Order: sequence, then structure tokens, then C-alpha cells
Amino acid sequence: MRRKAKLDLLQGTLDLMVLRTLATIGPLHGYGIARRIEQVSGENVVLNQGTIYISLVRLEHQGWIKTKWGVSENNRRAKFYSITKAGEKQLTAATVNWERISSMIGRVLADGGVET
Amino acid sequence: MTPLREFFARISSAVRRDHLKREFEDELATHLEMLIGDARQRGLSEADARYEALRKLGQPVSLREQHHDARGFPLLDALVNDSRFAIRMLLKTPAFTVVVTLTLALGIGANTALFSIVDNLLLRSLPVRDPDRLVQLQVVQMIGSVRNDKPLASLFDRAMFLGITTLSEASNQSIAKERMVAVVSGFFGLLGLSLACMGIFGVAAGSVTHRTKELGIRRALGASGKSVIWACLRETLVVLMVGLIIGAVCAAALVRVSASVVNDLLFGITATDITNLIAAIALMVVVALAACTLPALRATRIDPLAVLKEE
Repeated sequence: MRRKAKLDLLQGTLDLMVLRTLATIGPLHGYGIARRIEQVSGENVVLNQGTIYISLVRLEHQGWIKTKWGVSENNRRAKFYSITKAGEKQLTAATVNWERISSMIGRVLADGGVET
Repeated sequence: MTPLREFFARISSAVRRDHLKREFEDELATHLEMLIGDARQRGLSEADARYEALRKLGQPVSLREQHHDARGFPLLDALVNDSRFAIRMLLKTPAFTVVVTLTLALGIGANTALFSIVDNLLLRSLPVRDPDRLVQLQVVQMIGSVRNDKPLASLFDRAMFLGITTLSEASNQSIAKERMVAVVSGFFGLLGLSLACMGIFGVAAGSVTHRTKELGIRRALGASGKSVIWACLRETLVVLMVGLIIGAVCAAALVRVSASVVNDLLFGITATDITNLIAAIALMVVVALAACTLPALRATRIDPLAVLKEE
């Protein structure tokens, strides 16, 4: 199998990144979110940008984001998404959780130095 | 409360599904346009920009499916589709349908009747509190007469007893014959159950053979082993539903008839007991599913290549 140079997304991480983006930038349309995630990740994330909209559906169902129709910078009608109070709480909780998991896995994977 | 919230959101989404679908298409179209505009600005030709944009956005068909699933109830959708297909298949093979339905009905009917009999004769205790404390006294001699309103203790002053047996022991002795009947009919019930089991197994196996081509084509088109097993089982499930309803009605009738025929044997029990019916149905469901699982497992080993070559 071919090694992937870019990173595949772990389940659920896209939702977290979308929340973070909305919390940082404020109301955005889908394209804006995709663009921002690509830029911030240093173009390292493999992203079918269309899946952002699936993630947005999930987040909206949980009540973590809300939507409003508006006009985009190039004068097209577009749906704008923004984070809710509940979404901000979720973002804080999920970020803490993520950091705990990644540091734990980091420690386990770093355990390659001692061999018997 | 997150799952509940999700549930209600999905219901409201399912209701507005067409509208939301259009909005989603709009969003994808806008997104694509923005991606193209972006690529054009970096100096790509119209065709190249479009190609790159489509690649970045991802498979529209797959996205539409994912969106549909996220908005609605994918399991329910699948269930409805599967049931529709199963009913069509059943209508196409009426012989299979009738045989399995009848087998199930008989199995459930017979078992409910037997459960009721066994339950009443073997398992149920006397309908009083603390039945073990009831005793039967055998009086040998009595001095004077016993009046009903006197306390029972006074009886012991004036009578001689030969034997004291608890009532449950006494009734056990007196229904020994009926108990025997119950055990024997229980045996026949088991026999009937295994016959029903073999019957269903036979028909299910026949159906898998009959559908070899269809299942082979499913495999060739990439159906997983799990989905092939499910394709075989869902037919049984639909038949089960029909068989269960007919079986329940038959069972009620059967119990009525058998109870009136062997009335003195059963002390006039009319055992349309709901627990017995449920137990019989549950047993039949387990047996029927087990009987169908083996052929279904065999279906996963169908070689798509061999099937396609037969064409």
C-alpha cells in the first residue's frame, strides 16, 4: 500500500476543527471554513471539502452551531454558520479531551528507545 | 440529553428533507464556483480550474448520500427498503411464503398450547398465599361435633389424626396422571418444534440455492458478507411477522379446542395466557432465525466468478 504523505482525518476531528474555526473567525460559509482549515493546517489535511457540509449538519443537529443566509464577498447568496454558546462549551470540553488523548498516545509512541 | 436532541433534530430535518436537499445542492454549487474562481486567480485555465475544483470538493454522489444519511434516519430507510424488497420476493415465491408461514403458525400454536398445559399442571402453585402451609388432615375419630365458627385450634382438642399432608404434596399425588400427560405432550411439543425448525431450514436453504445468481451478482458488485446474510434473513423476518400473527390466532383457537376436548384432563383450563403466547413466539423467532442463519452463512461463500460464468 502506498504511504500517504498527507494525513487522513481521524473520526470526529473534522467536527472539532470546524468548531474551532467558527469560534476563531466568527460566521463563515462552508468554503470559508474549508479554506481556513487548509491554511492553518499548512495544507497538510486531506479534505474532501464537501464533507465539511456533512460535519456542519452534525454540529447543527447538536445545537452547537446556527445558520443564517447571507451574501458572500463575491455577491452570492450563501449559508453562514456561527458557533452557539453550547458550541463554545463543547469546543472547550472536546479540546481538553483531545489534548489528553494525543499526549497519552504521544507518550506511548515515544516509548521506542528502550529495547531488550 | 445529546442523543435526544439529535433525534428531534433528525425528525425535523426529515420533515424538511426536500428543502434541505436543495439548500445543500446550492451550497455545493456555490462552493464549487468559489473553488474554480480561486484556481483561475492562480492562473489555471478554465478546464484545469474546474478539474481541480471538482477534485477538491469530492465525489458529489457520495456527498449526497452522506448528507442524506446525516439528515435522516439511515437505519429506518434501510429497513423500509429491505422490507419492500423482501415482500416483493415473497410474492414472487408464494410456495415458500405459504410453507414457512404455516410452519411458523403451527409451531407457535402448538407451543403456546403446550406451554399453557405444562405451566398449569407442572409449574403453577396453588392460588393462595403460602400454599406450603396448607395441610390436609385425616381425621380418625372425633368427639362431639365441630362448629364452623369455633376457632380451628379447638378441633385439635377433640379429634384424633392419622396423617397430616401438606396440600401441595396431596395435589401432586392426585394429578400424577395428568402430569404424565403433560410431560408426554411436552415431548411432542419439542418434536414439533424441531420439525418446524427443519422445515424452515429446508425452505431457507432452498431459497438460497434459488437465489444463487442474484446473491452472486450482489457479491460481484461489492456487497459485503454481512449484507448478503442480511438479504437472506430479512425475508425470514417478514415471513416471521406474518407467521407470528397467523400463529397467534391459531394458537388461541387451538388452545380453546384442545381445552374443551380434554376438559377433565385440564380441569377446565382455558389457557390463552399471554405470557405463554409470548414465550412460544420468542422461542419460534429464535428457532426460525437459527434455522435461517446456516443457509445465510452458506450464501456468503457463493463464488461470484462462478455465478457470472454461468450466464
